[in-house]
Amino acid sequence: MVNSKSIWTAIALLALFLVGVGAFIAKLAADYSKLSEDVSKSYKEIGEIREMMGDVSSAVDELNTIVKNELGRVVEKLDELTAAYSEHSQAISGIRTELINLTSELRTRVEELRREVESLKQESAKNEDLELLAGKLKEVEDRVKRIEEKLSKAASLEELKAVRRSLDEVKRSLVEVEKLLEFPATIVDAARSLVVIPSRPSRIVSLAPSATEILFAINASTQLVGVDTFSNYPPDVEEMKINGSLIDIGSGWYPNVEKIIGLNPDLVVGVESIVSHRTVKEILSRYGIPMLLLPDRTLEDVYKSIIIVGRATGHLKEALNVVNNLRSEITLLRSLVSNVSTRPRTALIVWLSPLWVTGNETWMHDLLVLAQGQNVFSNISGWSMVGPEALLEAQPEVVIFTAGDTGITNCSTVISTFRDVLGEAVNKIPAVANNRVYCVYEEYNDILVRPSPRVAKALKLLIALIHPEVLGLKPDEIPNDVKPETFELPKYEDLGVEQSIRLRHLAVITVKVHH
Amino acid sequence: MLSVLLSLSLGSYRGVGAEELFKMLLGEPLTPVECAVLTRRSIRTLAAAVAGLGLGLSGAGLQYVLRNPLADPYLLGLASGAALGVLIGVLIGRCDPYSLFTLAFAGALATFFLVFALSMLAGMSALAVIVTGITVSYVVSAVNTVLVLALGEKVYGTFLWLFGSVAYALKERVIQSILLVSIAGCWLIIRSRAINTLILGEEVASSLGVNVKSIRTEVVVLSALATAGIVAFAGPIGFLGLAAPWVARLAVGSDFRRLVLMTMVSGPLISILSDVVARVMLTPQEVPLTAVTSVVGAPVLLYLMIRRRVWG
Repeated sequence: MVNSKSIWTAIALLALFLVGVGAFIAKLAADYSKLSEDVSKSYKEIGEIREMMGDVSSAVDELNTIVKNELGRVVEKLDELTAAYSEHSQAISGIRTELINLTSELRTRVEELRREVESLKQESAKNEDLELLAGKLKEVEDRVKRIEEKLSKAASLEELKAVRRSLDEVKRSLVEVEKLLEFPATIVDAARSLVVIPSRPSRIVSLAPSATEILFAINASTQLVGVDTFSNYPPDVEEMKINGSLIDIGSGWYPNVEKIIGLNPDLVVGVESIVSHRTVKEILSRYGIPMLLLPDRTLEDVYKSIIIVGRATGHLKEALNVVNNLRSEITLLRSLVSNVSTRPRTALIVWLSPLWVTGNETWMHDLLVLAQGQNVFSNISGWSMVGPEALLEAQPEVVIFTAGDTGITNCSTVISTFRDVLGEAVNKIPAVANNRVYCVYEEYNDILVRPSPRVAKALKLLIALIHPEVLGLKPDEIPNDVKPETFELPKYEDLGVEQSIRLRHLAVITVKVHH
Repeated sequence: MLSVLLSLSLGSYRGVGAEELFKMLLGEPLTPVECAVLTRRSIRTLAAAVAGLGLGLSGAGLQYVLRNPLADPYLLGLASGAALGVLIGVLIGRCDPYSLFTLAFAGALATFFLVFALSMLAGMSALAVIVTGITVSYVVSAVNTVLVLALGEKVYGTFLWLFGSVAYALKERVIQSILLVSIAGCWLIIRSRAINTLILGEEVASSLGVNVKSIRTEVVVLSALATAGIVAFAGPIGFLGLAAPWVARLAVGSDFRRLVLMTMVSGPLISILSDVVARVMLTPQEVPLTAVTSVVGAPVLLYLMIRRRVWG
């Protein structure tokens, strides 16, 4: 028999057990729901975190690019800096070599000047000033030595700059010494007389257009106070005559002595070939006014007179430059005509009635020879009068007449003048038969008839008239009446000629001629 | 006096005028430039005066001894002969003043004797002498011009001198010719009584005890001397030898004794005034003196001749 008590007990126990299980389940369920709540919460949180993580990573990406860019820039900057540094050090060494060169240049100049002073000391009796100069030069020499030492030690730019400054000072004091040595200038002029110019002239009178042109070319125009009536170049001259800064002293043939004396000049410049200039020189010497007669025969005389004027006015360097440039331009022009096959017989006429022609021992003859022409009157010396028959006899292939101030304005007049004398025989002159009679006016006349710094341009004009083909022209392109309005001289650039003239030291030319 | 003051106060340099001149006369100091300009101007004025004096006296003397109212060193070829001498001097390279003067003197005398010889052939009348003189003078001038042109550079630019000008006169040469001109002047004054008799005719003069031949030679040589002295520094200046005695004659009449003294005034007067015109006319250009003496002198002379009909 099953005990009911035990059954109740069993039932009670089962019930208890069931309650327990129920409670446990309930608790589990509660735990679970709580857990699931937590989990979902966690999930939510994880989602949020995920989102946040996404933001962070893009931010990191951004940061990365920024850092990368920044780094690139830094690297670039570094490259730049390195380059700049090497450049800088190169520059410093460049400056250093430059300074070393400058120093040695100054050193030789000091030595030259000292030698000059020494030789002057031996020549002249009055030594005080020279003694002073010699002392000053000695000082300068010591200073240059100190600078050299400093230069060998100097490393930074600042130090080099300091060296440059003291070198500039040395340079200035040398220029001063040179100026002191320039005057009194003693010059032997074309009349073989000794002209002494006590100090740098500041009131110069020019008695010839060529002398005026030289004075302007070497930058002495501010020292000029009077010119002759015919002086008209550079164009400033005419302007200065009108506004009164240059005074007209009358015709160059017959300068007005009173006017010259009234200008109180400290230097008068005339030319050898005009006889009245010799008389004027003699008269002016009574008033203590030094006067130079410039040589004006040959082309070499043109160079000489430029240098004489340069020495007399304190512009020797400019004068040497002008001469160098002239010589190199003439060399260039010579090279242009060096390959021509013929040398046309040419007559240079300077006056029509009476007929005056250009013989040898004139700069015009020299230019004609350089232009590869043959002067038909080379047996005559200087400018001379000939009969019209001489022209028939000489058989020139080219006739060039400087008609500038002769009153003739049309070249056909010239041929009809010849015809009046020679009759139809005039056509036997090749230049007339082939229409190669040229009359030259205005500026072209002036450059041909003046022994001035424009002789190179005159040579170019002669080449254009005698050998037009080398300048890329045809003979019939050249008008018979040659003046700036009717005929423009070709420029060097248009000739396929590259010309480079270095102004400072040696004249260097490169010539490229294409055929 | 007035003409001298005028000559000193006028010129191309405007800085010196009458004002500065009065300053100088009042003893006030001048600037060195003003002083130099005045010195130059006074040398020029002196040169013009000497030229007028010498040529005037030569003209007066020649007019009386040749009994020819048109006689003049310029027209008789003396001046161009002297110029030829100077040019020859330049040509042979003897440019010192003494050689030049000697050659000028020789040239003047030679030309005169050529004129004299030729006019003897032509009949010796007053007109014949002058026509021969002018002819020879032209030939010699032509030779001079050709010489200048042929010599080219050597004497190129002496054209102004060939036309006569005192613009480039040098003090020494002026002083040298003052000596020559005063010798000629003194001699003429001393001999003026004898010369005066010539106006009555050679026979009358001879009968009065005057050696016509010797006095004629004396006057010709003296005229050549004075002319050469002037040409050597100023070139041949025309018209003065004709105009100066004429003006003098109009003032004091035909008596040679007074005429000589008057010519000594009228000659310098005309030449100084002419030179003033020459330098002021085209300033700053120099005009040849002969151009002025001819242009200014000729009409005046013609007018006086027509009005007074002297020697008519």
